[in-house]
This record gives sequence, structure tokens and C-alpha cells, in this order.
Amino acid sequence: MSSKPVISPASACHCSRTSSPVVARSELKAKGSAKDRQDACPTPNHALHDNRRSFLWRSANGFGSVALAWLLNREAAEANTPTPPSAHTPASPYAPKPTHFPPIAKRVIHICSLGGVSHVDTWDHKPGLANRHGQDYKDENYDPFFGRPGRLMKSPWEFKRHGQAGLWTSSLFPNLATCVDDLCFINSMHSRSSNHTPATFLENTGFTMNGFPSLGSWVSYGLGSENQDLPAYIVLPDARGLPAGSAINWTQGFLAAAHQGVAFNARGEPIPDLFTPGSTSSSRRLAESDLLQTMNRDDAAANPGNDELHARIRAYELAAQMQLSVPGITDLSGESDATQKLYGLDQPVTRDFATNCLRARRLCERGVRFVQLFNGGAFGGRPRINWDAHEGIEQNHGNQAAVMDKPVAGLIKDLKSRGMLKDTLVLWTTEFGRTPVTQGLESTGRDHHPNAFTIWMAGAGVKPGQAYGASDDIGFHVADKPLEFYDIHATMLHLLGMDHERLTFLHNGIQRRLTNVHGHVVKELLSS
Amino acid sequence: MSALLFLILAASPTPRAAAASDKIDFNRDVAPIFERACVSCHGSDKEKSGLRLDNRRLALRGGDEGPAIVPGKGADSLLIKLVSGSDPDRLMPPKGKALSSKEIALLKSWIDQGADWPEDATANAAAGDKQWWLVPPLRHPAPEVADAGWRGNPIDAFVLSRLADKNLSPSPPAARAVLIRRMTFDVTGLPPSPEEVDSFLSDTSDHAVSRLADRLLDSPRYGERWARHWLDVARFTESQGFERDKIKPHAWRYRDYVIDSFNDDKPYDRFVREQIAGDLLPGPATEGIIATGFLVAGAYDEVGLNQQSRIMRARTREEALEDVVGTVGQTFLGLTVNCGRCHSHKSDPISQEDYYRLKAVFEGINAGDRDLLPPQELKAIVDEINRLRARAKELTEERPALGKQLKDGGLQDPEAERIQARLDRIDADLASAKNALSKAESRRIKVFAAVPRRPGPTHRLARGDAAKPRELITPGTLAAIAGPGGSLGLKPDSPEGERRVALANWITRPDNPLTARVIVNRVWQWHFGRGIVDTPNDFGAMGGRPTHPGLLDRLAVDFMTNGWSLKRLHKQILLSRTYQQSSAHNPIAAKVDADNRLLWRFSPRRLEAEAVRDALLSLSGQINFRMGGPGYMPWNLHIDNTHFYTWQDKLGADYNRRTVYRLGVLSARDSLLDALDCPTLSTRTPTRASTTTPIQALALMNNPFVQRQVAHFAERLQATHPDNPARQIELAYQAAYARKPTRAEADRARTIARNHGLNAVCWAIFNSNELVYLR
Repeated sequence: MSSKPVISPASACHCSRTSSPVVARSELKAKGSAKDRQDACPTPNHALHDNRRSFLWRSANGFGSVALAWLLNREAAEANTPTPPSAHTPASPYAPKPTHFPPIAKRVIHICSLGGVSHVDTWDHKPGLANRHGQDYKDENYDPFFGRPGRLMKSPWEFKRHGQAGLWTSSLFPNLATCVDDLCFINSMHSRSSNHTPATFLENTGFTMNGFPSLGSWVSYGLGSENQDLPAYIVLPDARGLPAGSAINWTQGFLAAAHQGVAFNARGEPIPDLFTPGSTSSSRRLAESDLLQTMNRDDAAANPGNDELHARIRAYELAAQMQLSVPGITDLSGESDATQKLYGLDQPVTRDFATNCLRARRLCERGVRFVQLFNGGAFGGRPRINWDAHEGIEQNHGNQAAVMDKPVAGLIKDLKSRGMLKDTLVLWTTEFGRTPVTQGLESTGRDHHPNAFTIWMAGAGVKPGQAYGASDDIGFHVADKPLEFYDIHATMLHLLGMDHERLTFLHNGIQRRLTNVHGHVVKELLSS
Repeated sequence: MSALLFLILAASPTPRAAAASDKIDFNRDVAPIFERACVSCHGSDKEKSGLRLDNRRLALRGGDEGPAIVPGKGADSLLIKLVSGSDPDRLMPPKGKALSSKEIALLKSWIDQGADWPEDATANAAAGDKQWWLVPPLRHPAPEVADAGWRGNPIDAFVLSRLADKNLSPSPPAARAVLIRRMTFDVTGLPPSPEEVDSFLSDTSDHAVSRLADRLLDSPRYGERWARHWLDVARFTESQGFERDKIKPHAWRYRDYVIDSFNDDKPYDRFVREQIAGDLLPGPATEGIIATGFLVAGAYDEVGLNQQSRIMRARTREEALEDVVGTVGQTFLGLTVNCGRCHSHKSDPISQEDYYRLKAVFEGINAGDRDLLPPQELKAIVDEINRLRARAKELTEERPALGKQLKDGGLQDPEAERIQARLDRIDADLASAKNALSKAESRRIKVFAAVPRRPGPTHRLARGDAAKPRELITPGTLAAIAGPGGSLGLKPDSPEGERRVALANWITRPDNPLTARVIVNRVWQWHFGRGIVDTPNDFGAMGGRPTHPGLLDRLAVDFMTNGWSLKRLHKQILLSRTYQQSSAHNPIAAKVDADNRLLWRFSPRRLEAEAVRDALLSLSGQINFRMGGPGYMPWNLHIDNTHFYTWQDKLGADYNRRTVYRLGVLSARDSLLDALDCPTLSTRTPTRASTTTPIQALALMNNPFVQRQVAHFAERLQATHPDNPARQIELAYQAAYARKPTRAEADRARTIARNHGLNAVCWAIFNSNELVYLR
């Protein structure tokens, strides 16, 4: 993907036989390639000889080169095109929308760690748990997810204070420990389900049921995109596997399908149908695209008063731009060695997640509103590929933290050094915590624990270097300032300039909200 | 809105100070105090300490500490003690302005006088006055209109009369080629063939459109098209969703049932009854059982329903029942009854009790596979399955010991040979037993449907929380519906079956004011793109108002008096001048009615995802019209606890079936259909969105399925008119657009075809606006 067409300006003509992968593929594979070559220069627009064009041509990625040539051809032809509708209509679902009040955050990066990350082994320091290590836990109201509760178990990791703020983190996260002055921990989270999928739905949609719009879909619906040729909501699944329920996690629910999260593949074609098929020569694609736009333009002229027809003409131009821009996002070869190392791209264990973290930054730079990174996959298979440490906390969380720590720390540092952290909200969440007791008497694993857990936020408008709320002395229940995901969602929308009670969608008789009938903006989490 | 608030609306705005001797009037004097000071905590929203003060029966019953109101004994009533501050730590209300001494005196007098509180029914009736849909539809006479041509069909008279009110005129009739394309897509979801277009254009009789409508409605393609509309409303999903998203392998029978019902023009009232209680009705038992697949067609939380925690299981079950009650209420009654799970409806006269009455009707329903064979046949198969399983087990158990003997060695040759022969024999027998087993299992015909069991008691749940049961509930329905009323004549422990049959009959009573209106409005919407009420699942106060209330009523009454026939209704609409208008823009009319709510033209609209895919397959000649049976699955399945579905452009006739036969997997993605606004399957979708995005453009530009159909379309054109490029282009336009190309269009297309191949022209047509818009 990183190879660039080597063409001299003089030969920079869309019909020439260049080393563009599109042409190369078509010549190798297409049945009609001989004919294509023979009729290689059919249109009068083939001479792309001026310097600016040849510069763009050279800089274009191979797969996008046809799209670029076509777009350049359109420039002259479409000087008189009516302006496409800019209102937020179904015809242009990504058009920017006004916020309710001035936003602090322009975009969100949501890192979603799957399986349930143990709070008492990561960010919530519990000396009380160590003191009572090995004791029975008696609570007749305790309702475990699996089996019977075992005994209280201290964390196998050492906790230390870090940063100027002196916040506690365990030795699981040596890199994130250096970022604590930028983080805002919330140690008083609790959830309504001890079952992964409903709890994950609650975390990501505000409901425990299937089919409600995810955070990114609401943000896309509420704000539109800063960049018309990329979706507002992009998902980067973990290279090890998709989450349980896969695409249900980024569903648009009852919102328009345009607000569905677009999942970027880790390898190959980043999004489906992005690349012009190898069987279509570049000259054919140019010609048929021209024909299409002419047909559509004639049709729109014959059927006046229909904005959707113009929006659809525009959509084909945006699609061509997307063919150009998306490969550029996924190609990390232009990133410096230092940046790549910062994220951990040079290490096998961190490479994949580092790639996603770096892509997240690049997507944000291009105006994507909501980038969602999944850290972990589904629940099958051993060893586990998520944080669901039923069998042994030490091995499981050790492995998972090694994947997550450096890339996420790299992302925070990189965003900060580029000045992006001030208007980018970074949200790290997990569906629930893990029990301070072992799961059963024999294991060293921990069960699901919705009663108390930790998440953190960083960046735009978030008060950095603080730990908000508290669990009790063993991390079993929330002791101070309980919060639920509704509050986190309300606060996130607030930072984006939206009132969670006013961002609504009327569906089957109910003014639906991300926060259902709950949620408060938590002012103490905000820097001002 | 609470029942109390309804009362207040009718009461005087300010509480009047009353002397102790005056007769206290609840509505005038007491209700405003409760509303201001009490109900925000002691209403259906919060129900603090278990006490409600917004509902007569619940208020008199009291809360966790027992009765708060003891009629006749004001001074002894807890309510008076708390509001008067006799215990300063428990002064009520705890926040906000305390009650004045006048107000306290008034409350005390009211209780002393017997705490007279009018029945709740008055509240519902008061609300009902504001709800147009509570009044049963009348057969309104068609309005007088000047234009004789618009008098014949009552639809036209109602529409023209509304247009005339606004000084608007209808549009001229659509060109006949446009009309046949519109009607063919609308009724069958497919483009008309060039032959069909020619034949219609050459039929100059007055009955040409009527004949066309009959032909289309008689086609089995009609049921496939209209079943898809219904399946959207029924949130039909063939996988579980949630954590595992397993396939429900027998769910497809419900889809076929819907297709057949539409094709057979099954009377709609029967269609409704079958989907609620078909397993209990007289008639073909199999079909009736399949029909109840409707109740459980949504997502299914297998992990949640089987988790260890009893209370979490119960909560999952409540979510599942909310899905059933919500779907029944919205689909058949156009009411968001599900709002009542946590609190009485905020804007419609639907109480929390109403919700739980309806929930009690379905309390005995589980989702699962149900056998369809007659008992005797089933027993024979089950016996055979059990025998084969036992045999397979026997063989499997015998194997290891023999294998060990052989492996340990030291055996004489004949003995080793004998054991080897025996092992080979076991393997062969095992293989054949397994083969026979899978054959026997496949003969055990099942359907994913409602599986009844003996229902437990239903309690109202405070805030909808399974951990907070309140009073026992009797199965019933919406009290506010004036005609039939909310009682089903049941007892709290009535048998499961009686409950569903009673509800099914109640919904389809001719004096039910909603059922016919709701379906007539849906059919109208699917023909015109927008309903007379534009929120087809919500006729309540949050929903839209009918643009043509008289017409909606008239159609509803005609529908019921003509045997609830959908095909008759379709034809009535298709033959109307309103439907046959041109879709051309009219700037003057658009200034008055930009949204075309008054129908001064036919609103153009983009085809749905399924119609686009089916049209491509139809044009390419690749479409496979095989009906029914398990759906096609354009994904590769990979199971790792969760079932993962990866799209693949699979080849072969099985994958070229109409899109309604695509397996409905909740988590699976299909870039082409998703981009064209296929909805989230488990979500009740009465109306499809229609968006335009670059992702959609990319799908039509590059998707391998589209590419293949482009090539097949070109091959087909070439095979039909070999060596005649002009005729090829002409046929392409006729097939795709139901018209011939203009001279300029033909020349342009021929140039491109000559230089780049016919595929390039076919690609442009497949991507064009004219293809995907219905006009």
C-alpha cells in the first residue's frame, strides 16, 4: 500500500500504463485488458499535464489514483454545479450540526476494554484488601455471576503513587503511570448487569438490550462530521478478534444507517468496497464515472426540486475522495520512528494495538468525530483474548495490560505533544470490574463485579490528575459519589456541547435519549 | 402524565381554602396539593417507600409502612402526621415548600369526611376526550368535489377536498410508462420487463390499470415484497443477538408464513389472531403455531436467561416480555404500551397497570423451538432418534478398549486382525448411525415460535424492576379503549391459552377503534412513502396527527366491512387518481406544502435496499425465484463463543434468491444492503430511513456482487441482440428505466461501450439515480 506510482509529469495521464496498482491488477487479471489497452486514450480530458495536478497525482496512493484523476476532471466540468444541500437532512446525514452550547471537545477517542478489567488490580489501590487477604467474605446480599464466592484476595501487583498528583496505579501499567497527571480516574462506577453483553451494551448505548444506538452513533447524529468524505463514527476492532456480538456494538439502532459505526479492517481493504475492483481498468472507471455523473446531472435537471438527487451526485464525488483519503489514514509509513516507538509499533506484543491507537489519532486529525477502539475480543478460546480473568488474574491481566499499556500511553502523549489533547476527549471504559474475592475457593481468578469499578477520562475539558469517588476499603461497593454510565455519557455529551436531555430522537412514540431517563453532568470531573 | 394530572386539568387552577365543615372536593381541593408536593416522589416514577398518591386504589392501600390514609380518621392518618411535622425528622415533603396550615387542615378534613376520591376511570375518560383514536372510526361520506373525475374513488374525493381547502390542484396523471414502473416496484419490488411495459402501453382500454393491478397482486412476488414490510414491523430476526448471536435455525418458517398470508390475501383479522394465538385457534395447527413466531421474533438473550443469579434472570425475562408487549401494542394498536413498564404513560391514557395486564397475557410465553409434527409421527421419530443415539453411544464406548488392546501389542495375528476388523466395523456402523441420526433429526420439523407454559402470577413491578413486585395483576388490556374496554373476563390464574385467545379476539373486535386504522395507515404508507398518520407505530399524543382523518376512518370501515382484505385495499389505492398522479415538482404547491402531506403529487422516493438488490438481479437475469425454505447465508460462519459472520460474495443460484430470503442475522454486515438503509433487525421499524452517503456510493461502485451483476447484465444484452450495439443500449434503458434512451443518451452510451465495453454503460445504469428512484 505504501508504494507510490512513479510517473513523470509528462506522462501523468490517466490512460497511460503506469505502475499504479489499479492498472497493474487489471492488466494481470482482467479478461478485457487487451481491449482496454488498445482503446487506452478515449476521452478528450486525458491530459493531466499541469503541475499542480501532476503533484497531486504523484502523491496519491495507488488505489486512489483513478479516483483522483476523475475528481480533477470533474473540476472543470462541474464549475456550475448547484451547491449540494448542507442542511442536516437524510440526504446529507454527515453535515455539521450546531451544538447546544460551545463545545470543549471536538472529538472523542473511546477505548473500550472488554471482559471486565479488575479495578483492585489496576487503578483502585486497596490496602484494606491486602490486610484481609485470605479471609472469607460474608454478605448475604452478594449475588455472584458464577458459582460461590471465594476468599478475599490481594492484588499480586504493587501499587505506587505517580506524577505530581500522586495518584495510585499498579505496576501493571508502567507507561500509563507516567500519564496520570493527564488522567481523571473515576473509582466509584457501578453497573446494572453482571453479564458481559448487557453490561457492554449499557456501557456503549445506555441500555442493556440489543438495538439501541451506540455512543458514536449519537455523536454522529448530533454533531455530524467535520469532514464530509469520512463517516463521523469509525470503529477499530482489536486485531485479535471482534467483540462478542460484533457489529451490534456499533449499531445505529433506530437512527439512520448512516450513523452506524464503520469498522476499519486491521488488514487489507480498510473498509468494504473501498477499492476499485482489479477487473476494472482505470480508463474504464474514469469513463463510466463521467457517464454516470452526466446521466445523473441530466436526470436531476429533468426532475427539479429534489435535493436528494444532487446529494447523491455529490456522494459519488465524496466516495472518490474517500478512496483517496482512507488508504492514507491506514498507511503509517509516514510516521516518524520516534512516533512509531512511542506507541509500541516496534514490539510484537503491542504492534497491533499500537497500530489502532495511531490510526485513531490520524482519523481524529482528519475530522472524524468519534473513534472507538476495542481492546480485546470475544469470550471463546484459551488463552483468553480479553480481560475476563475467571481462571487466574495474574496471568490474564498481565497479558492484557502488556497489550494495552504502551499504545494507550503513547496515544495520550502523542495527542498532548500535538496540542490535540485539549480538544480531544479520551475515554477509557470497561463494562464492569472484578470481584475482590476469588471466584470459588480454589481459583486465583476473579468473577464479574458490577458493584464497584474504575474507568478514566482524559483530555478536552476534563479535570486532569484527580481520582473521583471511592469504593469501600476492599473495593466491593461504592463508598462515595456513585456514578453510572448514564452520568459518563451525559458528561461526554456536555463536553461535546450537547445537553443529554435535548439530544433526542423520536422513535415509536418515545423521545429517545442516550441517557434514557437518567444521567447527570458531573461538574467535578470538568476542569472549568 | 399521571392520572392525577388529568384530574387537575379539569379542576380549578388554585386550591380554594375550605372551612372544615365544607364538603371537600378531591379534584378541586386535594389533587392540586398532591400534585405540587407529593407526586414527584410518590407517583409511578419513583414510588418512594412504596407509596403512591396519584392513584386512588394504590393510595388507599398505602406504602411500606401501611396505610397513609385512614378514611374518617384524619388525625390518625400517617399522611397528616408527616405533613404536619409531628416527627420533625420525617417532615413531608422533605424538600421544597412545606404545606401551609390551610392545606394541612384541608387534607385532614378530606380524610375526616371519608377521603372521597373519584375512580380512576374518570381520569382515563378525561384523557380520552383529547385522543382522536379512542373514538371508533365512522364511515364518513366522501366530500363533494367539483372535478367529476375525482368523485369515483372516495380516496380522491377526500384528497382533492383537502387540496382545494388550500387552493391547490392535484398533478396531472403520470406517464403510463412511469406508472407501470411505479406500480410494479411498489407491489412486487421488481422492475417491469420491457415486454410488460410494451403490453401495458398498447392496452388502451379503460381497464388497463385495473388489469395491471390484478396481475401484480396475483403474482407471488407481491407476497415476498409486502412480507418484507411486515417483517420490519415484526422485528424479525433469525439470530439471537446479544453475546452469542447464534442462528435460530427454524425461524424462517414464520417468514414463509407471512409471505403466504399476503399472497393468499388472508383476512387481516385472522392474520392478527394467528400471530397472537394461532396455536390455540381452530384451523391448520401447523400454520397457527408458526404464526406465533411473531411474538418471539426479536433478539433472544440466551446467556442472560440462563445465568446463575435468580434476580438477574428475572430482569432479563422482564426485558424479553417488554419486547413482546411493546411489539404487540405498537404493531396492532399503534400504541407505545411499553412505556407503561416503568411508569404510567406520560402523554397517553395508558397506565402502568395496563402494561402489566397485557404482560400477564403473555406471562406464560417463552421463545424456543416447537415441534410441528402430529404426535404419533413425532413419537416415531423421537423413538428412532433415541435408539440411534443409544446405538452411537454404545459403539463409541466400545472403541477405546479395543484400540488399547491393539496398541499395547503382544497379540497373535488372528486376534489382532479380529480386533482390527471389529474396529473397522464399529467405525462403519458409527458413521451410518450418525448419518441416520442426522436424517431423523431433519425429519423432526420444528419452528422457532412461542412455547407456552403454565404462567406464574403477574405482579406490577415498581419502576419496572423485577426485584420490586407490588400488587397481583389480572390479565387484561387497555382500560381506556372505550368500545371493548380493558377487561378480558379473565382471572389472575386463568390458563395460558385463554389469555392469548381473549386478547386476540379483543384486538380484532370491529369496535376496537385502533386495529383497522393502524393497518390501513401502514398500507397507505407503504404505497405512498408516508402514512396518513406519519408515525405508524404511535397514534398517541407523541405521534403525528392524521392529515386526512375522514379518509383514514372511511378506509378503515370499508376495510372491515369487506372482509379485512388487504388486496382489495391495495387495489382501491392503486386505482385512485391520487396514486396515479405525476411526481413532477410544482414550485407553487411546494411553497404551500413542501412535504407533500396533502398529496398534490406522488412523492418520489428511493427504493429500499432489498428492492435495489432484487432489481439488479432481475436486470442481470440471475434472479432465482425459488420461494420459501431456509434463507441463504452470504457469510462465512466462524464460532468462537460468539458466532461471527464474515460477508462473502458467494456464487451460485442459491445466493441469487430474492433478498427477503436472506438469513436475518443481527450482527452480520452486508455493505451493500447496510448502506442502503437496511434497518437493525431486532428494532421495530415501521418506516425505513433513506440516507445518501459516500459509503453507499462506494458499495454500488465496487461491491463484488454488484460488479458481477453488471457483467451479467451486459452479457444478457449482448446475447439478446448480438452484434447490435444500438439495440443493446436501447434494451438496457428499457429494462432499467422502462423507457427508450433519447438520441443523445444512446449516442453517449454507445461511445462509452465502444471504447470501454458495455459493462461500463451497465455500471453507470446500476449506479444511476433514475434506477434507484421510484417516481
